[in-house]
Amino acid sequence: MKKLITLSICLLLIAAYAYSNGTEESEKKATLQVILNQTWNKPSFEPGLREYEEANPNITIDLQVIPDEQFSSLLKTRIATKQYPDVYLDNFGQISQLYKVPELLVDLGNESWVNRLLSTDGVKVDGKIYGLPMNGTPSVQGFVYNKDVFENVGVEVPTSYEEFVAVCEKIKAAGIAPIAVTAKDNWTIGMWIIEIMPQVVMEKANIWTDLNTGAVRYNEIPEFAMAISRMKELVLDKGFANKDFLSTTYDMGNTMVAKGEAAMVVQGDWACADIAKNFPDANVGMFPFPIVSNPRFTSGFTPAFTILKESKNVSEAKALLEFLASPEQMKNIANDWGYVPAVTDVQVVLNPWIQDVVDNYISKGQSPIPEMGVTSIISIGELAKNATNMLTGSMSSDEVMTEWQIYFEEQATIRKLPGWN
Amino acid sequence: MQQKRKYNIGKTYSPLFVIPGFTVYALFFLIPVFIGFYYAFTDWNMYLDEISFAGLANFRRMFTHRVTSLAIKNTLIFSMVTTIGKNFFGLLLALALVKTLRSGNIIRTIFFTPSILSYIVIGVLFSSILHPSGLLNDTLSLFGLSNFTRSWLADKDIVMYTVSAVEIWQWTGFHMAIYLAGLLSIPKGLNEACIIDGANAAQRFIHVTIPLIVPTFNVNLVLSLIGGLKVFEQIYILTNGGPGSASQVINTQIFEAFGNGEWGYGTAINLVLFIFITIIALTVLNLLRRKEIEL
Repeated sequence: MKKLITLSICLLLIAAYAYSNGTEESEKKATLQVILNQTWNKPSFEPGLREYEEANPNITIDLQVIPDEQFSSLLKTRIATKQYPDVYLDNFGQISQLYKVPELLVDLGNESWVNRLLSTDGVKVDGKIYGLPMNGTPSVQGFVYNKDVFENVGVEVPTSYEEFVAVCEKIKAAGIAPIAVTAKDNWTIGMWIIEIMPQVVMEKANIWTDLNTGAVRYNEIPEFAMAISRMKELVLDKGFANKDFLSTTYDMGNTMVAKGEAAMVVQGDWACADIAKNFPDANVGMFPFPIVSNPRFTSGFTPAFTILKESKNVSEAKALLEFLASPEQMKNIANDWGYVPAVTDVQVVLNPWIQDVVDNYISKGQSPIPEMGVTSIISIGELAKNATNMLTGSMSSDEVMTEWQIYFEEQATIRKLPGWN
Repeated sequence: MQQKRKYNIGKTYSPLFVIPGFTVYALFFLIPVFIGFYYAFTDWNMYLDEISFAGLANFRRMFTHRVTSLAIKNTLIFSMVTTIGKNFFGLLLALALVKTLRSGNIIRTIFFTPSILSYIVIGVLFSSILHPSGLLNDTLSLFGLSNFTRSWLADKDIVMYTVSAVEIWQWTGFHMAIYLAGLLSIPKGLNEACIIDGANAAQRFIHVTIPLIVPTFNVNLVLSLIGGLKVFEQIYILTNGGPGSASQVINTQIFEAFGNGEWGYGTAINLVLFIFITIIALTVLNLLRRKEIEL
């Protein structure tokens, strides 16, 4: 009996071996794991991938859509445990903060679409190109507001903190939540941080280099403490936030603004696109976060497709990126996200809010300044988490900055970054 | 009895038979664990090419880190509250259900069901029940108890207790089953003798039932303590450590450290948790063993 079993197992293995060899000779079948977070799985993305699958019967695309909150920790765990996906969509700035890009990603500098890109600034590390960007110019970040609410209440777009507080008071008096705070999704608190922090130190030259090399400390800069305490003032002390903001998610916040239950939300221009899709009648626009006088938009967000070096199907993954870079797909992406297309041979009608931003700010010389996600060498996730702690009432604004300084030093030291030995 | 004796005389197996099992155990468990202990003392992380010895740096960082101290506190709260809750309600249910005969099995099954549900199901279910405008708060308001409505999972002061309550709800049935087994193993004769001697229900409970279910109680206590200290899924799914870091526990910290690529640090926290559990479990087990009585 035992011999029989052994024999049959041997035969089975031989058969399997022969079979696997046979297929390899004829045509390689490959499964490409494409991983992205839920909010980024825009309507025309998946149909595009399925279309590609149909045209290439050898390729199966395993699209892994991860809930926003778990995306980055899950991906980090997968990379740490060497369970690499093939194609990975994330904010390129974030990727370059978290990983050693030249070791993790495939250099895409020789791909045919590179020459068609409007700008490669967002996807470069040490002069080499590691990603296929989804936008030609980085996303603009500021307040997304419901224009109708502003009109009905009779307020204008504020340009200083004092004006902003006055505007919020009026909106609150009209029975509308002035600011939709969506703290259930921690990254949306991160949006506050990356927008307000660079603005308060706009006037200081070299401040970010000094912070990154440890020449100055975060908790010694009064402007940062002011920014964080203003955040607390707006949300808690003055009560400009919606009720139950700790249980409110990004989508819920957008809905509130679209329906006029809240007047504005701290977001990037993608939120306008999401609102416009679900509520075509909503009249939304953007203005820079008035944490200081003469506020500026921030930017630096470049979502990009990247290929992991450890992928077993690099050439297939490159072919997929080639497809995604085709004018048709790039047009879909630009329309889905409301972006300026990443490639020069695609023209889309700019969304009204982008046109607004261009007309009212950028053409007047007020171009966006880099967001903190770009200026800081350490990912701001921990700072955002502690800011949320502050909004639950368990930390003071000073503690937030002290804790961030401790965390920043700790992280910079364990990574042995330049200036931190 | 006779057969047992026959085997014992001069017929023990050679200790060498342990080797295959022990090799596998050592290879896949013991050695990795001890290598892990070593890495707890290094600065191993995903950003460095070389691993170097860091002494006690990881441990120092852990005990000065605000969130990690909070996580240790939260883990202790969670394991205390759930241990008390699970055992109290489990015993209560077992006592109530030990007598009923016909419908007993159905009712026991109903109480046991939550413990076979996956944490994902429980998490999704309770996230919506405990939402500020969810079932629980709506029900409270309906009965005019709006003063008692809370943001159960978003209030930093009560979030640990909310999660504990969910855990107690889920596992009470499981502990009830163990208590039932213990209660059913008490010889009927003892209780009958007491009744003849004129002992009332309370006296029988204190002097007969309690001493005889001490072993069962020990099992339940140690199981729930270890379960409480190892808490992860419940927190991860219900709150993900939030709001902010109000419901971080040791295991979510470990998960986060590994996620951030700080493998040495993650291993160090894990080592501390391991020592923690070992000490607590052994102490409790030893203390309670002495109270056990043999029939």
